Amino acid sequence: MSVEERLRATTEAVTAAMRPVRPLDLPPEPSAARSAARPRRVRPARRWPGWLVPVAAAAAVIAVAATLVAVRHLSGAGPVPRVTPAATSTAALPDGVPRYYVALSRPGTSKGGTPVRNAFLADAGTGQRLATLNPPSDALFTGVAASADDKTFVLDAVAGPGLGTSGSSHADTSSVPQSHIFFVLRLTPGAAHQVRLTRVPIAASFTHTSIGGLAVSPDGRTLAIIFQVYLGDATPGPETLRTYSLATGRELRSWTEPVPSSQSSGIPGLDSFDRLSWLGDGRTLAFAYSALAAHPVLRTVRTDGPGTDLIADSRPVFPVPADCYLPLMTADGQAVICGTETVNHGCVKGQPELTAYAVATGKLERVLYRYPGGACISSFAQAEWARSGTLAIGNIQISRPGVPSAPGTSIFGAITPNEFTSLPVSPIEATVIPGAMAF
Amino acid sequence: MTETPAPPAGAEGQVTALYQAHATGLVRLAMLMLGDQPSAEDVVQDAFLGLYRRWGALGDPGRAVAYARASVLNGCRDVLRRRSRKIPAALLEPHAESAEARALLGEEHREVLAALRRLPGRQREAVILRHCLGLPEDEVAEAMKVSRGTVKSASHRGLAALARILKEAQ
Repeated sequence: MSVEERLRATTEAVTAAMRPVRPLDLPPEPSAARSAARPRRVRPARRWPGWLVPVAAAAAVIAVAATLVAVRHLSGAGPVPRVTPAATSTAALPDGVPRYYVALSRPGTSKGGTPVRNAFLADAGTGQRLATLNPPSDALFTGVAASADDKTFVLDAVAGPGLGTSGSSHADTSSVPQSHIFFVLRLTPGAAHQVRLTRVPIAASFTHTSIGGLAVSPDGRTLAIIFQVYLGDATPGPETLRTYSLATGRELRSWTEPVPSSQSSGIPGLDSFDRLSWLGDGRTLAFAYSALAAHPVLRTVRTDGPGTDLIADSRPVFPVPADCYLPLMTADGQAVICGTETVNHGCVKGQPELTAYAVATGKLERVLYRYPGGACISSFAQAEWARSGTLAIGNIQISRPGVPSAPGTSIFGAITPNEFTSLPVSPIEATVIPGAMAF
Repeated sequence: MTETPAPPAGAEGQVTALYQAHATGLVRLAMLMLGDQPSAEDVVQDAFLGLYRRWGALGDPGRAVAYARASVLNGCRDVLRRRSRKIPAALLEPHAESAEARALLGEEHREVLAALRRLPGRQREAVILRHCLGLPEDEVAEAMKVSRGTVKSASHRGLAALARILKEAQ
């Protein structure tokens, strides 16, 4: 019997020895569970019936997706709110916590059966939605990142046939690749157009590309993207980190793997948005990198330094521990915040927590937050939505699979060296994964 | 070939439908990598939970199975890394199969599984995906995130090494 035949026979024997596979146990969406458990309140008459102002995708400047001024001209519209803290919220926020955040909506399906997803701007103090942002009709939003000024966000959209409201699920999309396009959202409280969504005129098309991370510099001027282009047969190309001017779309710097050996990115069509951040100096980027079959390592690269080699011109600074979920380097580069993940493993030991490791020693320094609840839960604890280079915001999601009477919980908090300050943020309808919300 | 039924609307329904259609095959992959079913099921559950959480980032839902397969492979790598840290490699093999699997699998098949675990990681993955599960080269390449050429060379070397190990064991 040849080796191949022995392998096939063993595979058949393994299959025969398998017990029935247990059913999939998905945790409930925290927001969905809450809304299901809570009686619906009768909503008062809408004050602003025209939040949804569609994007006119006519020119390089796509358009204003939702302008508060536009509401003035809608019949029956009530008093016009302005995007200022005084007008939108009286809720106090801890010092330094941004007032606004952008979140992607939960993925949906158009009437034609194609995937759709928009985004919204909301008030972190109240959770109140201020504006809905619609992508072009052949696209859906897939990720968002924020600058440090609380007024600038960048949205990534994937565009192509079979996507968005204009697509058809029956269209043959196999020969037309999807591409990534980027938009900058700027808030200008007090201006005529307080919310502007503009396409970033980047010449590169980002087709056949998996985005691994998206980060806006603290000054809101530069966009950094780490990505991997796939060749026709899904062979991964070299991983590339690139910076662009948000104002002009001009490529500023580019670093590329000399040999495509990274396993960090996903597969074509899947973006992760969890591997890249700016440090507070506005000149250093931190990114997670895994050579094939090696432990992930956080590396840093100076954007004002020489070189174009992603490996030779960057520095490994922190080997990521095996139990560190979604590592995030702090703004000063001195520590790494780690989350935890306990999923579907029953009553396992350990609690959801956010911990800080010292970069210099690689050792655990302190527990920043530990969820006080009991065991037998599924949970994710992650610090991903950093106010670029300034503040990290943690999120802990708790669910009790199979217990309908115990709705899921999602806790947000600002992470400072000594404390975790809870924030009154509700994810509303967002699916809370890295890249789905940005403060 | 049977056609997967159209999944219902909504991420939860779609992911659950994909799980129902593909979980057995993916657990088999993870079992061949890890040697026991509970760990294999954990890895597959995690992969589908990841898929569920990232459903909105998946522009083309047709890529979901490939994504899940790559996630399962990644999850197996993580489990093997953790095991290799906690348990000296020399002591690993007796624990790698559950008592249940030992009872159900004959000596011949246990030898093959033990030999598979002695292969270097990339060769083991290529051999399992290509020769145990019969996946085409491009799908193996996608799951392993390597080129087709690498799949060819890794599976060729893996088969040769496997033949050598099995011969030594006789």
